[in-house]
Amino acid sequence: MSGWSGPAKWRRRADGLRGLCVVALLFGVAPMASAQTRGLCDAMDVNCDASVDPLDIGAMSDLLLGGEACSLCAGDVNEDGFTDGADIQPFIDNLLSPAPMLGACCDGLGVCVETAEQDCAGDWRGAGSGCAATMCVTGSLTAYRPRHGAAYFPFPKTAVSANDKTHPQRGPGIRLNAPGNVDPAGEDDLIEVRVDISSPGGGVALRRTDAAMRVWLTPDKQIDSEIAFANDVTDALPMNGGASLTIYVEWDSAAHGVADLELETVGGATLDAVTFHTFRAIVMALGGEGQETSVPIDTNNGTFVVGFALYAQGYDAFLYDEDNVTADGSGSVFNEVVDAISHRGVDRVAIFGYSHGGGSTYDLADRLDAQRAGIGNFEIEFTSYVDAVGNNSDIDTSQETRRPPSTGLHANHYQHGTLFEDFFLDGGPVTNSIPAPTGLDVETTAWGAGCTHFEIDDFVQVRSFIETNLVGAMAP
Amino acid sequence: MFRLESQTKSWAWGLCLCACVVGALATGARAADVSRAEEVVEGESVRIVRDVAFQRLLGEVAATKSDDAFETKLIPLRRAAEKDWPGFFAQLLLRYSDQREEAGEAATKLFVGRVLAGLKPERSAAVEALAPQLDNEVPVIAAFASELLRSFEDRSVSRESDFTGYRGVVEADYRADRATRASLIRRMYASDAGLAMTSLMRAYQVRDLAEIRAILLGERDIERVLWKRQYGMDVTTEELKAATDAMDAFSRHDRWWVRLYVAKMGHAHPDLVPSDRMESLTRDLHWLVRETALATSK
Repeated sequence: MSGWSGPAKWRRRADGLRGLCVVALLFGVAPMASAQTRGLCDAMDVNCDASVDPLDIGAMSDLLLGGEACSLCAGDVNEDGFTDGADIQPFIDNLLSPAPMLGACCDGLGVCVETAEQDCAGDWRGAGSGCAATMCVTGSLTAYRPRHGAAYFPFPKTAVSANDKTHPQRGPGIRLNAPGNVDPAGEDDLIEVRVDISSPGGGVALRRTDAAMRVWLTPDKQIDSEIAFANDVTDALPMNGGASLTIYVEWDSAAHGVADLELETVGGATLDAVTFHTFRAIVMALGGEGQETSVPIDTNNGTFVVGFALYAQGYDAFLYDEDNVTADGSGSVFNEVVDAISHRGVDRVAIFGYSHGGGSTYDLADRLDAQRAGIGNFEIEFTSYVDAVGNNSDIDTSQETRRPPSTGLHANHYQHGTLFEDFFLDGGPVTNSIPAPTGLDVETTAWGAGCTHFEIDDFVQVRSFIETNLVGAMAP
Repeated sequence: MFRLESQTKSWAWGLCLCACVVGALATGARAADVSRAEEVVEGESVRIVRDVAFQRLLGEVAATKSDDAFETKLIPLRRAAEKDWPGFFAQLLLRYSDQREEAGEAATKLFVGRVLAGLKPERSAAVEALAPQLDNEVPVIAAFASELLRSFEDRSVSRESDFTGYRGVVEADYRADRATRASLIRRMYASDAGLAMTSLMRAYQVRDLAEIRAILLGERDIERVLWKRQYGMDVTTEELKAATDAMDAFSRHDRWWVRLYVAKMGHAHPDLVPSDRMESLTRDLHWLVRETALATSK
């Protein structure tokens, strides 16, 4: 509503009109944004053509001279409830230096505020968009540790923690899956990732920072289940009205890398990200006689506890019954390592075992070292024995005190067996081991005094020593 | 009429004989296959009869609570075992079978291992005693006997396994004109087919130098290809041809245990064994060769 009153206003109106003439000369043709947008009513859009441009100058003149307003707020640029001479200067100022237009801004936490584009830290939905009609989508990515065969056994399905998911080493690890990879247990190199969004049906997409990353809706890359990227961004994900979607990420390249997978709105605002690193290392944990892998991990099987800890830290760890290593080192464990080196770009190996698993650690390292010419380039970076017993067979009770061939760093813990407590089962000192010089006789420590063969693998001091030194010796 | 029938029968026998000869020639099998000395049979099921004296001695060892007592109790057990290794091993297997559920698999094997480490039986004596137990009527005992035998093979990646125990058993059978148990032959070929073949060659007292050299040379030609592949080296056309020629010759060899080598290797290395040779071995005159070829061709 416009209103007029008194001679002073007429003088101001006349001055203003002269100003308007000048402004009209200064202006080109480009439409301008207005700072005076109130909701969907724009005081600067005096002719109500949904644009603030020089055409509004004439309309403003007409309005000031008594013309009819085309909207409730037209011309009331100073927002005082009247369209009069006091609006002329702000009208001119706005035309010369237009204030940013407002729009809905989703802050990434699901909250909507109306701000100028440059003030929006989240996803700005465009000029004139209001929060009343805007759905702010939030979303997250949850990546899981690698699969083994069709599922996760011998590990529990383990999500990468929020603290680790963008860490370049502790984040989700992924195996190279270039053509030629054997996958004896079936395709299990794709990493499961769950996409969650706050508003079912909201539009979200994925962005990758390395073209080696491919995304599938099935873990075994079934036909027509790939989500394609164009310029490293997907179309809106097929959420099908749901709040959650499971996808599988593949690293389809023979080259190693570290790369992000980002979840973003279809407008391009980043909602979440995970950082993948390709596995260059493989960790083989070999249990003792009668120790079987299980989910949940049996806390009395210290070797498997360490293996799980490393798995959760971003290593490609495998837990095995030691009998999968035969006396000459052959068997499924050897085949797994050879496949990793030959087809997955792995060039670092760590092996550790308890009791007969220690003997198998030697046998496996021996075969890998003896046959490296046919396997490829790799280093055995770390090995560890805990009370190692030779594993020529299940009835072998001899101490395993040979240092695993070619290992870069060898840890050794042992105790002294007795008939009554552990039927004489024990390991022994191993040359050039840590703690130097031949490993640790745990019975010489306060915490390990009197321990038996059946307890030594469960001491936190022993487990932590293996874990810490492996991590120090070899990145994932 | 009688005369005519008799003639008809003669023709029939003649035809049958021809068919047999043709069949034999087709598979390369000759008279050596019917040699009693190199015979192999499916062994009769073995049952262990409890020996109270041995079981008491084993029980006393198991019941000891101190290192010294253990050593002391081993002495009478050692005396008894050295007089009868087959009897000792049979009773040891029986104790394993009796105790494994109550004491646990790992603990029971540990006891067996500790007793054997204390007694230190000769490899040949142990293998001779354990070999028949491969046919034990109790599957758990047969499987454990196989595991114990494997421990006496002394397998390693850096040296050849030790088949002296196996060779000794087969040689003893040969010299006594006894058939060898098929279970032992299967165990040998499953562990190392090449070493099994050359061990049988010695056990069966082959004396034809040309034949010995042909077997050794052929096996070396095949092993050379496998060795080069194992270490990622290129195999030349000549080397590959030498290996496949050796396989072809072995598949037509007079000795069933040479043809058995081909039947076994044809599974692991099919490119070295022409498919028609493998197929012909499924119809071999020797039942163990047939069995192996059929099993591995599936």
